[in-house]
Amino acid sequence: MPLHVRQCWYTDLYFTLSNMTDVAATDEALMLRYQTGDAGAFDLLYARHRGGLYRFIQRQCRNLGEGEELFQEVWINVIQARESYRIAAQFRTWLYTLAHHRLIDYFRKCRVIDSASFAATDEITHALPASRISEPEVIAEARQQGTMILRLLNELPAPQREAFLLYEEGGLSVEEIATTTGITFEAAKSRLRYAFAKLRDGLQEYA
Amino acid sequence: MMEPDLNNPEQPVRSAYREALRDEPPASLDAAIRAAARRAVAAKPQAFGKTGHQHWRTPLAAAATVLLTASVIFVAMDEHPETIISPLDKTPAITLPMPVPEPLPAQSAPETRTDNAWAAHQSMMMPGHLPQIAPPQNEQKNERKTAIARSEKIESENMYKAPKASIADTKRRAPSPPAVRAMPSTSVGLPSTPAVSTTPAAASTTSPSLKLAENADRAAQPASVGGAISSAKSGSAILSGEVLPGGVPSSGVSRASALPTVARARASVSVSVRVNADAIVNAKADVNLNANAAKTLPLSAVAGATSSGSLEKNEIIEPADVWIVRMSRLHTSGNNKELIEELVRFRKHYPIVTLPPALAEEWAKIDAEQMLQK
Repeated sequence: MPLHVRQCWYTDLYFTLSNMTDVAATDEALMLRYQTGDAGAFDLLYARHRGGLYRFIQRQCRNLGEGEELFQEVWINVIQARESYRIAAQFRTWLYTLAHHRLIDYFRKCRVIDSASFAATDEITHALPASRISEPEVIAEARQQGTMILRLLNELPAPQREAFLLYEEGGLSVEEIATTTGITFEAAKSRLRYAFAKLRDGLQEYA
Repeated sequence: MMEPDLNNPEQPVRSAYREALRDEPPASLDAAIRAAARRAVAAKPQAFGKTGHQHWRTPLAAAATVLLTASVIFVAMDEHPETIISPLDKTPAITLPMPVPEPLPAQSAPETRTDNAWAAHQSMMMPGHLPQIAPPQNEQKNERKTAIARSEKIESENMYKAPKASIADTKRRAPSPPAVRAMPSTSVGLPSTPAVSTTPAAASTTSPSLKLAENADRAAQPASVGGAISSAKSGSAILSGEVLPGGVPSSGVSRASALPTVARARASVSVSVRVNADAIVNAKADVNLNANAAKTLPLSAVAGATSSGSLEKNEIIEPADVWIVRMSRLHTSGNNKELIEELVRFRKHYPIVTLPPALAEEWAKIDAEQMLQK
């Protein structure tokens, strides 16, 4: 499912904007239009990515006020960088790269976590637990325990949490996660597998 | 793009996450960000305006600089044309003081320039004609000076071959000199190729410009040297940028012969000269003195323009003004023999310094005698 379709139910604003003829335009085309002075193109871009980026930041920052400030700073960076924007990668990757760097700066400033851990390659020391996807009760419990996963998410290591959020909120692929966070593909893949494994184990324990 | 095999096994996690709280940015934050985006777009025309201004700022500054530079150069050329050296003149130039005399009076200069004029002058200056000149006497002095001056004018007007443009340019650019009066001189033409250009325009022209190396090579006879170099016979012609034909024989006597030098002087009017010092030394070039110029140069300016080429190295040269005072005393005391020696020595060292009337009269006699002896 395309990302913009999957995100369209996030906000009413997106439904309003989806009626426009250029709703199918790619993020890159919208950014180029905004670069030429089309403010409406930025509204479309913002509507597509506001929710995912907001949650991506908030669920790592863990402070509502600071998270909103970081969220605004990232978008301001987008606005200021519109003149120099070139289509070298997907807009989504570029946007979350800006957010990733801003978060790294924030972590260094607040010493919340060791920012060096973002650059470290994860070592897989234990095998992933077996999947229980075939068990219907597990799925039902996961749906019911939506808030529980957020708690589990907060307990994840920061690199794994970031990889999971990039995958879920940003809709990035593993390769794009590697590009965004500046790590190798294998490292991104391992982070993501660890994140899923821990979340799944946590949900099973909760159940 | 290689996707991990997470979709199916991790579907419960993803479903649970999607069931979680879907918090969104507040409306105020949305409005602030979108307003910032619209402000940035609205401010874009101003930014383009600034960019355009900045884009034109450098070319405008360059154009202004060029205009200012050109204006300064033109003003400088108008006010001090002698200080502007032509960019074509790659050789180092020496700036020498040299007033440019006005053209000689029409009645003394021939209207046309013919090659026969030089022959006529030569025939007049030949020894065969010399006995026809009466011995120097006081009452005939003016007539003799007039005849010599006329011959000099003929020579200078007719024998110097220079481009008309150079002459015209010289006359146009050169400041008007003070009135030129005839020097009591009997010296006649030298086989010189005065490599003197009195104006930048003349210096920039190749043929009349003085290239001593060329002159030294081609002229078997001593070549005249640039600088404040001119002869009484050819003063005005040299100063006007004209050039004597190289290697032209002359029966005349130079008052300041064998004075190879590069004159150094400072004055308001200067001459751009191409000087090859080696060529000067090797050619033992003569220095032609400009009697007309001597009338206009102050002693202080000329004193520094002494030459040292053929002089004895240990010879001490008095300042011109002191020397003149001493010669005046000799003249007053009636010591003519010593006066003549001093005058000869003085003229050797200070060929263009104006003498007091009494001494000038004595020098005219000496000069005439020397000419007759030759």
